[in-house]
Amino acid sequence: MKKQKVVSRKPQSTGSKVFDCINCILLAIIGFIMFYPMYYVLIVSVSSAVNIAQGNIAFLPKGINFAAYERVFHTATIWTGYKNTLLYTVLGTLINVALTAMCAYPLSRKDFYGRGPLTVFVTLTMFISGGMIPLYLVVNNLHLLNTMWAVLLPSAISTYNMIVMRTSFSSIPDSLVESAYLDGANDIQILGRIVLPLSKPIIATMVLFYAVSHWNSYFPALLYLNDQKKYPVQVIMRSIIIEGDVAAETTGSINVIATNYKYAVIIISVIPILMVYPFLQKYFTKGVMVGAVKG
Amino acid sequence: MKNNPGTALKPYKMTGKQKWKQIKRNKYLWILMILPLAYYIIFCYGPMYGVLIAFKNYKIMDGVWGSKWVGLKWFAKFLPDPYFWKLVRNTLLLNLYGLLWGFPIPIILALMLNEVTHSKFKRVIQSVSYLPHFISTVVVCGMVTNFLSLDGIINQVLGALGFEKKVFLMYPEYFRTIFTATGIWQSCGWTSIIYLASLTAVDQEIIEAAMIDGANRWHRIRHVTLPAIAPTISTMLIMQLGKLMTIGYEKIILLYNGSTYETADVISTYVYRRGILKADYSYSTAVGLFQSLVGLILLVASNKISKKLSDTSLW
Amino acid sequence: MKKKAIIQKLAAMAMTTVLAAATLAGCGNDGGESSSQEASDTQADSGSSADASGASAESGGVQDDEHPSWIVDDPITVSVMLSDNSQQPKRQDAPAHEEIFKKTNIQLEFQIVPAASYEEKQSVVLGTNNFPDIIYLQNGTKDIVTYGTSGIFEPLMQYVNEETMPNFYKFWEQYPDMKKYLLEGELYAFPVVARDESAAGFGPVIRMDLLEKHDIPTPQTFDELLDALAKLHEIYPDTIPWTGRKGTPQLLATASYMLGSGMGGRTDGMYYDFDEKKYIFGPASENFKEVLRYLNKAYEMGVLDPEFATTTDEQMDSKLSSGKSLFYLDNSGFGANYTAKLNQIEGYEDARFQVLPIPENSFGDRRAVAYAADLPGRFYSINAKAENKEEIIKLIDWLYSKEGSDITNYGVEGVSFEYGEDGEPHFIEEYVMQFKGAEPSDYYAVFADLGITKLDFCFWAGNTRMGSEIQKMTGSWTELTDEYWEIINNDPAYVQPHINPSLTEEEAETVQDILAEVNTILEPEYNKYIMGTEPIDNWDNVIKKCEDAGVRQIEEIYNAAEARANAQ
Repeated sequence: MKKQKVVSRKPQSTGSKVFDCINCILLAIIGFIMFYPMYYVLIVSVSSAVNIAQGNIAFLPKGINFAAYERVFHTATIWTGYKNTLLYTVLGTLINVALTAMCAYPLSRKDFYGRGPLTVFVTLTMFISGGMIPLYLVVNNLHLLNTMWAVLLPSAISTYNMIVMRTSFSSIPDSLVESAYLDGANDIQILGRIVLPLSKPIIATMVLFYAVSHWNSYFPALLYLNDQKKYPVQVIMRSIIIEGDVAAETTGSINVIATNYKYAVIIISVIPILMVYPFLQKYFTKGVMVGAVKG
Repeated sequence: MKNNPGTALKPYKMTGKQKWKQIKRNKYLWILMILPLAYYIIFCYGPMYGVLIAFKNYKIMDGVWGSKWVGLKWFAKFLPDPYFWKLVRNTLLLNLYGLLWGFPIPIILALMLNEVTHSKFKRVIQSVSYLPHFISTVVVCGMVTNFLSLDGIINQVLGALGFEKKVFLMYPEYFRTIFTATGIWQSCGWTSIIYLASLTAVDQEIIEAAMIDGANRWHRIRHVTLPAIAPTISTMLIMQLGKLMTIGYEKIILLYNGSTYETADVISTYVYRRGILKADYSYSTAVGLFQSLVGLILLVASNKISKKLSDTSLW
Repeated sequence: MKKKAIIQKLAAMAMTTVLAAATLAGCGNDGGESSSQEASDTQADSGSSADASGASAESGGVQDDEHPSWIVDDPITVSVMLSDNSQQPKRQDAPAHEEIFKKTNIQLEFQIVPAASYEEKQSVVLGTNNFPDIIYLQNGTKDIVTYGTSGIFEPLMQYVNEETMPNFYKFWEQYPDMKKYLLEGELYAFPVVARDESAAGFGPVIRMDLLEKHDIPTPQTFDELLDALAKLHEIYPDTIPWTGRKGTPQLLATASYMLGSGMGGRTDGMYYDFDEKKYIFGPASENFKEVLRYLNKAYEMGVLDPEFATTTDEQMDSKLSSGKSLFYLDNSGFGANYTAKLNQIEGYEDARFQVLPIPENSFGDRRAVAYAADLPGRFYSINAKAENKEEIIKLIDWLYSKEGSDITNYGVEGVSFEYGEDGEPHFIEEYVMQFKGAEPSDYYAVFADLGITKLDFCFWAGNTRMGSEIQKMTGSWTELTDEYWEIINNDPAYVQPHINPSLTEEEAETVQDILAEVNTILEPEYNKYIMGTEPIDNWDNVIKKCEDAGVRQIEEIYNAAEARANAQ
């Protein structure tokens, strides 16, 4: 950020000012388009059912009440779900980032013997999978069913993320690695002392990507966990917002799950993970890496 | 085929001893690879024998190994069907549109954000841009249906401008636009994070030097910033190309109807409608295998091209 | 400093991965059954309650006298996979579930899977032959056909006799239709039997208050219905009189049978015609043109929602409960909800949705298929590998008994219900009143709290009767509901749904293939004819295409299977 100030102190040409202006206006419009739907979910969640049905809520909530949230707070399963999700997300992300870095670094080294075949070996898995049934049998044979490891281990590395990380690692100048060799460091030490410290932005990206995918994931949990007490919040959220057709044919009068309740559940389930980003944002500032190389 | 500069030159053919020496030289890298390789072997290659059921008549009690071979019976069910090729066309086209529009937009967004000097504004826009990623597809599609309905926002705006109101979701010609636009809206902020991360690697001093040389904003972006993130861009592109044959069914099922099948029906929705998800294990594996193979071919081809055009390649 | 921190971080990461690997390796070594491990886990979980009742059993001495309904002396655990749904969320420790344990000494361990994803999980656990002792079948008879002969389900005919299952056997005798569930002479799933259910169903529901206000006579025929709606449209030009949900498939599924043809389900097409006494593929029949003609007329008159093909559940809900729409043809019970919501809006205090007696169609018939009242189409299968089959069978038979059914429909005696002088269970008002005003409704809140009725683990199951009893206590029962049931129950047009005969595996595969092809031909066509972009006479070409795809063959398969089933 210091650097930015240095840049902006320079006298700006008119063209540059116009550019800034247009850029900011466009971004503001994009920002609004991105922001509105979540805002809509928020205002509907605090509006009354009657107003929601009339469909005239656009920018401000109508008939403000927090009954929906009260109901969410009284739904015990959501809170155990929360607890589980936190556990799975933190632990899962740790495993993911560690394993992904361990895989990405060797594959990023152009002098790594076996790099080509190994990359093919790993990339193939993005396209060919045996399907759900054999994977389920593997998880079952490892006795992981109904444990959190069944949720965490089968997705320990996302090949897609690994390749992104590898690409980022390979932009680190070879000269740094070579000089470290001369200092007597081995490859693991180089990864820990040079490569990772220089790769904070990509690590932050990976943490974010993995954490969010754990937070949003429901299918492995649904498949491998049997005990309701182990369900993450997404499984519970889905069972609230996606109604089965079952009840429609059971009685004369169906009871639609109120939209404001559904939306309140969405808001509640999304807020914690939204808080992660601002903490990681500082790693996305310009010049982090270059500064580190020189220092 | 071409040796990258900086790559340690490999002898054309090595004896076993020499190979072993090479491996030993990198032993710490191999140690790092142990756990990832274990993961890939156990959870990715371990279950891969499951593709066999595409050539078998899978019976639960017999298991994968015990079920009878039926050769290409399942492939013969869909490959000769002209409707299946229509599905292939729709799948490819939907993905191509997604690629054509959806691929550059996150890059542009990242570049735009990168040019913002006001850091608070930048932070806010950045944080807001990935919000749509957190709204589940069901809810997004519910909103899309509402916004596109006769008294939805879009029609109100069009009506005010003197256009005719339309039920957009009933016209096959609009489906691809709707699907692609909402897809971009859902994911562009999120994908731009990758580019933002790689933009941090751009050397500020080069930029400053360029400014002193009198380069304007546009020149700087074109000649300094873009080349710096080019490897990331081409890697992402190759991976996107490999995914051209696959498309999830959830969002399409929520947005399409009989009237829009012409453009909206894709392989996964057809398989879903057939009720194959229920129990037709062999058939769905066969379709999946077909998709995988096409995806793989696309990936290998695009990787080759990329290798020729630039230095970037996946392997 | 910084470097140190990163190395520490790395060390932590490495630790985690090593731990993970150790877990993996450790697990790879032992070869025990995972289910047994789970079973012991849950027994540990439920240890406290098991101990408590175990202690009382010991002090009582002879268990049979103390606990006449106990099935086993030492408690056992039986696992059950059950679907969850948002109206009535389920939980392991619901009072009714614990009461089952107290009465039978069998602890049920529930695997509760959200309905929206139940099918996927079911497909995997059945496909790997790795499912709990008892499993609820999401797709009912379809699943019986798909999985029945595979050998993963326990064949049940050996238990269906007066001696082994006295309670179930009574129903078996009472409902001969159950024999249609037999697959090649064998029963693979226990059907849930309804307890005092009233038959609701799809029906035409209209804003009665507006008909009365404008002196429009109650429509007697479907044509008069359109006229009435057109008149309302004239008076209220801003309204969209007729709306629906889930697009064209739902519109056709609800309207076709009443209009003289049929659709079966939303994407089936095959239906049993009670007048013709045979299976017909609706859309490929001559009568279906009448359905299209009628819907086209409604569309052209501006009566049918121009968005009929895209409306969602939420949109229908919103349009009907805000006064924007005045009529729908779907689950007629929804009307009470829309009325209640409308009445909260100023100017709509007297609004009232009510079901119409089924009008006469152009063939001069009044006909409608009600929801299943006797056999609601819910099934539970038993794992052929289950350990305590004998006990499981006894447990299920007990659930079919009056005692079992009372508990699974009313909860715990003395807490949530008590027996009246007639010997029948009745809810205790004090208990029920806690749920007054609860969301989504008072009775679903009671059902969810107790773990009772049809949607829970219940074999002789009610829903409507328990619901209305609760509504009468909390005061949410209205005269409108009384009137509703009177109209429905006195309308001779409704028939009970026909139970489809079981197809053989080979037949089912043929049907699946042909249906997929035929429906792919049909689905893009419907809207063209309803919207009038194609003249009705061209429908003959569509029928021709369906015939080329083999539609008559599936009609034959169904009718042959029906004949086979009747001969049994």
